[in-house]
Amino acid sequence: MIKKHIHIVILTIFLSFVLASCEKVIHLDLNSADTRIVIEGNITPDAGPYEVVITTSGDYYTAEGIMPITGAQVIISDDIGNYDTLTEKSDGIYLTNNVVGESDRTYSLDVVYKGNSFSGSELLPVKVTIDSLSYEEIPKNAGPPPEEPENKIYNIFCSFNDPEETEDYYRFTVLRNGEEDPNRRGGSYNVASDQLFNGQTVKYAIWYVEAAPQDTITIIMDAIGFNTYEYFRTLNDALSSGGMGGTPYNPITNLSNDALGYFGAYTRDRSSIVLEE
Amino acid sequence: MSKTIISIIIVLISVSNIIAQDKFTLSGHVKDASTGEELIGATIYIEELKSGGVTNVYGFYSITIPEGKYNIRYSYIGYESQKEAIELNVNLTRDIELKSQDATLNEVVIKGEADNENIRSTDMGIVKMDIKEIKKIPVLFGEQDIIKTLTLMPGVSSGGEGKGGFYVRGGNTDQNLILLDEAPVYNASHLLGFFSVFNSDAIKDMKLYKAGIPAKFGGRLSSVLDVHMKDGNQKKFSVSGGLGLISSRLTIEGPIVKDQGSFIVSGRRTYADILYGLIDPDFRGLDLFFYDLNAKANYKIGDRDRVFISGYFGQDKLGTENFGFNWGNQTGTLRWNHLFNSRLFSNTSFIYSSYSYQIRINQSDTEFKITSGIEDYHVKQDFTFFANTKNTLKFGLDVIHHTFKPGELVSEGELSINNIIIDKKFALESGVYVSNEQKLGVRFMLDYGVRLSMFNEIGPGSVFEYDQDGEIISEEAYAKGDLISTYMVPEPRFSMSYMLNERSSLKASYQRNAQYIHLLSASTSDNPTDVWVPSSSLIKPEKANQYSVGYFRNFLDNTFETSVEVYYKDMTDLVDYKDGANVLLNEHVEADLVFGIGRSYGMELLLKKRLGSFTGWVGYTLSKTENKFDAINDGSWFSARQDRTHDISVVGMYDINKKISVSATWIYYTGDAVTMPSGQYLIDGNIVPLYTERNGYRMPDYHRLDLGLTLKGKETKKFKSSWNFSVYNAYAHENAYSISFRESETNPGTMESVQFSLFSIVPSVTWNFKF
Repeated sequence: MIKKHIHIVILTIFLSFVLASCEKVIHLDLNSADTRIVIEGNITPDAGPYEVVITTSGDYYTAEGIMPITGAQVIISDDIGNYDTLTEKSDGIYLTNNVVGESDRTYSLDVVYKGNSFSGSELLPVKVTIDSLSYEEIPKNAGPPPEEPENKIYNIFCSFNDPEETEDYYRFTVLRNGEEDPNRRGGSYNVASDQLFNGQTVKYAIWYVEAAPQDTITIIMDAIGFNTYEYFRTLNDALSSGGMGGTPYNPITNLSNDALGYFGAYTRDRSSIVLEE
Repeated sequence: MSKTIISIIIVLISVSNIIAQDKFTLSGHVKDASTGEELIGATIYIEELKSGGVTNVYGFYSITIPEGKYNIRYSYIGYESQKEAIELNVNLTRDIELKSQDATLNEVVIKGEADNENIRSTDMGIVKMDIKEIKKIPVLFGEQDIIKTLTLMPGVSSGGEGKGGFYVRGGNTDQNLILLDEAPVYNASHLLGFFSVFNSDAIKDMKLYKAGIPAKFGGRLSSVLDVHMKDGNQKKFSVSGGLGLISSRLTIEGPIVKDQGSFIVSGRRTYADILYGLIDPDFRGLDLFFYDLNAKANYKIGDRDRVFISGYFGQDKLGTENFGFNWGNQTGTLRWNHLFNSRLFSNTSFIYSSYSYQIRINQSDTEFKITSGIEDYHVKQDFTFFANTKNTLKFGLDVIHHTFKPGELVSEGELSINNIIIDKKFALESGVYVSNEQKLGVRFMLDYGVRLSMFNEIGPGSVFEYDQDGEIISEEAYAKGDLISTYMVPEPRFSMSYMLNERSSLKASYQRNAQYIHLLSASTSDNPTDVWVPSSSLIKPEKANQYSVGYFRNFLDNTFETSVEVYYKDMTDLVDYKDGANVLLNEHVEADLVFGIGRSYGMELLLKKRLGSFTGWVGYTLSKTENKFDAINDGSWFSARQDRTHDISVVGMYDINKKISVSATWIYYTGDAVTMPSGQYLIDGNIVPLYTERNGYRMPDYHRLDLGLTLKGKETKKFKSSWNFSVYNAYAHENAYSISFRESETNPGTMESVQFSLFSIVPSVTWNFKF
């Protein structure tokens, strides 16, 4: 997380001072890869039904060829023999019928389509709840400038107790007045492992949130499974790659047989705070 | 091991005493007449014997020949040759001072006497560059840079604009051993590779070995860049410097005791931060600079001993109130030259080298600090035995103690988090070598030797075993001083030349190299945060074999030098990160590595004009470099990022008259091999690129023209000055720094590729002075 930004920060500082850099749209021929299957599914202890979306990949520039996969057999099962065969609600969207996620259980997703099977499994972690939220305003020039001049930049702090005996992984989503900031989402998912704060009362900082006074900020904190964490951590790389970082690669998936996407599990908590003037 | 060496030495010396009965030794130093700086690689040619020698890196030469009368010619490029008539009937010492052609105030350009040393010697795959030449070549912001200039030679290619490092014959940037006064410089880049750490004011000489690496060097696969600092003016006190747009330099040098000892201190600092602070108060308190400080002193103790002490300190500092990032190298070398007799030259060195970086982040009253680095202590003993005109024997040994500091994160304040301190790792890297340079008749010359290198990873430390998913299977702890793993690699080195006639020769070489420490880089550019790791029970030493042959021919009385060299290199046990590896503060980084092999082959052409008012060269490299990793690209061969099919450089320098000189360079190379998406899919509403083959695409080809103009000011005995104007990227070609993708604004729902370039045209001016 920190490392990824260092190069960009330095380069930005340097470029803004010394160099006249420029950007232009170019024509670059890209090969068209063979179509691959894309599976995205999640399980949580929240009330179902849960969705599994199955599509294909397509052409990079035009998205041509991206199609829903219909008529697949989709099953979610747990580690004590329960299973649920999903029903296709609409093209490529499959819903569970009765399964409800339970913490500390390992769930498996099995998809069979045209004789090929794809599967993945994930441990549903224990729920971690938010104790409180707080925030601080960042003085002008000490952080990035806001997109809208009337806005300000805040650090939001999310306090919670990290369970000591387990390795835990988190995903944080910020809502401003109930909506996700589209600019923020285009960048990256805020995911963290407890390597830095295992077993502590954590005051986790979500940096540089753009908002205006009187706005309500909602933090959604998901305790996510390890595979889910690995997927989103590396999805961030895939979404931001553009020459400056390392060699780009496909996100690390827990699905077999060259399927793209992931099968994830999470528990969710949320809390809100109003930014005072 | 050391016993064997001692007995070899004893045998050699006694043998030489037998041979030497009716022979005498002519030895001494060759120096610059105006500064007293020893000249490295000056030629000593005995006309009667059509044979001779060259000075070593301390300017020392020694030739043992039968009693007789000889005419001896001392020459060095850019200097007037000097002839001495000598009657040799006792052992003689001759210290020779050659006059620089620049120093002659004569209006007529003196035509230096060309020699054909390049034809005669076994040197191949070696790039030597004159510092004076480097100073004429235009570069970015007027900062002369030896590494940037090196990349203008065939077989050496630049890491790319803003990416740092250089590639030699398909080797990666960490496979170059960069030595400054024998001390390894772990990160030779400033400011993300826009500049190198070598301040050319403090540099006397440099030599890059692409092949034919002498047995005394070891530890890297691809090349050795051997850089020597100036010793300082032996004759008089002098101050020189330069004022440039983004940096200034100052050098002070002079005798400690005339012709006995001297010192030099040279520094430079960039000042973009100061300038911007003056222009806009918002930028005050911002760090954005680098500095280098070189210092060296030497002193002669009697006729047989001389000591040198030199150091380099450099750092980059970037930062604001909330964020800081510093990195830098420190090196120190203490050397003792000793002449046992006029034929046995010894050098003992104690070397220190370290590289480290610190990152500081201040947020919400909490300070986070990340630090990492490497630190070496190194002892080295080298002997040169000038047996006779036919044989020069070199042997020695060295031991390096490495301390690897993979990283630690500590924090203080409200947001306190668990500190992460990854255990240091320790290792000993050692080598013994012996090599002989031998002449067979007048046409054949051989240089053969072997280096036996060894690496011991030593405790304290833990060895982990991992399964395929990177989960720990077992852990074994070792106590302080315990041997954890040991590797030993014999590294034969061989090169030869066969003179077809006075103008042309055929050369061939073979070498085997081992590399025991590895730079892990998660980025496609050199990053200050890249981490050096030792070989261990999981990480094997990298090994390479290189075969090369070449044809060398000079034209028009050695005015033009041409050469064709072809090479083939295979590499094993290359190391890379797995996709998605956790690179920062990862205790189990070894579980995140993949291993593979590589191969590189190519042809290098060089046409060089060395003499006259117009000098320069044209270099062309045609090459292919591929890697194969089981875990990457389905285990099939793929182009390495540094695979550059074509690489062309054209360099021209023209002295219009004594006052005005102009220069131009043009470079062109095939774009880097890169990975680009071959499809897309949607996850959570995001368009995610789909990657299929590694490095299956190319960046656009790179090309650029730079121009330079040097105007010398009025020259008096006391004061010299010059203006240097340069234009980088003169025809403002937008070279691609990176290519990224985004959703098209004009055609929503489709993606477009966007090229980002760093520089358009960049003019600059520097004022240089000397008094």
